[in-house]
Amino acid sequence: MGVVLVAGGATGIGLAATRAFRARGDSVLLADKNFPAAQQAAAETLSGHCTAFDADIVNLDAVNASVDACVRTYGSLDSVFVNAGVLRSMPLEAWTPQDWDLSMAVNLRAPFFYAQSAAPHLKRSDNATLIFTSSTGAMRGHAGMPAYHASKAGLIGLVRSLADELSPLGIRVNCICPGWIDTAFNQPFWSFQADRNAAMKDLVSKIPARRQGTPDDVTGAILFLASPAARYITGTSVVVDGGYTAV
Amino acid sequence: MAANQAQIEPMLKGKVAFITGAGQGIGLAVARAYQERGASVVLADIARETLERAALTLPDQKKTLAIALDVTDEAQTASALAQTLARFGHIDCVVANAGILVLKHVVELELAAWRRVIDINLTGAFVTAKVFARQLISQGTGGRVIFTSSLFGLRGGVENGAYSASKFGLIGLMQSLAAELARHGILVNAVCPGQMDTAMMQALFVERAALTNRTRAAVEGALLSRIPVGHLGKLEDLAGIYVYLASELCQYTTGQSFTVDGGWQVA
Repeated sequence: MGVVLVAGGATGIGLAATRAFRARGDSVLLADKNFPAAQQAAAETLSGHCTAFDADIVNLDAVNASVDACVRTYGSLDSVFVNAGVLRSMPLEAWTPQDWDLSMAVNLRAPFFYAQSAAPHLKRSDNATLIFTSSTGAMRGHAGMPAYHASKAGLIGLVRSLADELSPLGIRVNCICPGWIDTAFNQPFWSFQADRNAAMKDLVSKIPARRQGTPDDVTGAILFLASPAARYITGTSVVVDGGYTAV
Repeated sequence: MAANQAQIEPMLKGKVAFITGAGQGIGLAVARAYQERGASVVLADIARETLERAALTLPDQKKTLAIALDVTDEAQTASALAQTLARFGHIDCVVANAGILVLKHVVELELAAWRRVIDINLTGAFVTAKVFARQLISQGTGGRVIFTSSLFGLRGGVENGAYSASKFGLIGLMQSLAAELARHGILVNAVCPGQMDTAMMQALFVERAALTNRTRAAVEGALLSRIPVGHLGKLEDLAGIYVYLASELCQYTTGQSFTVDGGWQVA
């Protein structure tokens, strides 16, 4: 089966995707800065093999090292799923240049350099795909999260540019835009709200599906994009949000 | 990738799908892809002879029903639903795919032609969705509605005024319906195909070449230079997204458009 690199695969959507890839027989290099969690995930009993790799992708060395490790371990590379993200919620005046740069480095810069690092290997695959986790936050904005929204929207543009450049080489580039998926990742947002419970009720009332999503709601889209069934799909965003952005 | 029946997972086993515009092109390709994965399919099209010939090419005739249908006619559509239920007992997935293409500059387009495009492409989809969604709601077990929009449902194009208006309109209909049906567990989405390799496309190349005094190859080359993957889409390339949207792999996904265009709209 295929070889997949998941950056940010120890928790949440990344972990669900890692499990789903492995369940269908793919080998996965799971890169995450939470190495104990990565090792725990890699030790799960599933069809496809999994190797944990210690990487904080704010550092470009870690990006390159994880790609090299994947190709060394499994001999090839078919899919790169860059899911790691940073979500900070602070009032405007509290943001420092370092805070901004960190969000940009993880959310927008790392995916770009994953593309650069992985492209020479992906070119040799007959089912090559880059998938970035953007967000419905690329289309909507909330106070306190300027770097998150800017970087997630930036990924939409990045995907188009990379698709134009890499699709002639047979590498598809797309992003997924999960909506409100109920994981620990959103903690900073909920903590920033004046009344957390009221905010959550209000949000859910605005989602046609009347619930937040789960990581497993998103894995189908990721696996579809990484499969030959999506061979003519490139430069797009796939939104999984229970109808949140449809209204 | 050649379709080897032995290798295709029956991910739509037990499902019943109703597909309009199924006599050829995308609709027929979707019907075939669905049946290959275990679904029973109802093919609807206005051209009876073409439709019946097409239906006979599907491998499992026990899981095939062909119904001649004018999608703009609510009574005929209700009858098509009744025939579907009589044959297969229930419905799971509706693909509102029927559509026509009229290429003409807005300032030259006859009102009757405009009305025809809107009527078939948009009103027809509304009628199909209304009749079949009511059945899905009454069944109480969820379901799927899929509209075939277009690349031109996301942006316009020269000579595409009527077509683009109808395809943009489908997006608004789709999103509104998604918001309404979410509480019934019915997911509603649209597919926006790009430039596909069909008989119509090949004929267009020849026509354009004559009109602009270029070779057919030059006309095709100009189009291909705008597609990052470098080739037109095959109908089989579209099957994947329609299968995905009809399957259990697709969850929490509604009110969205899925572009299958080899990167056409990025640049």
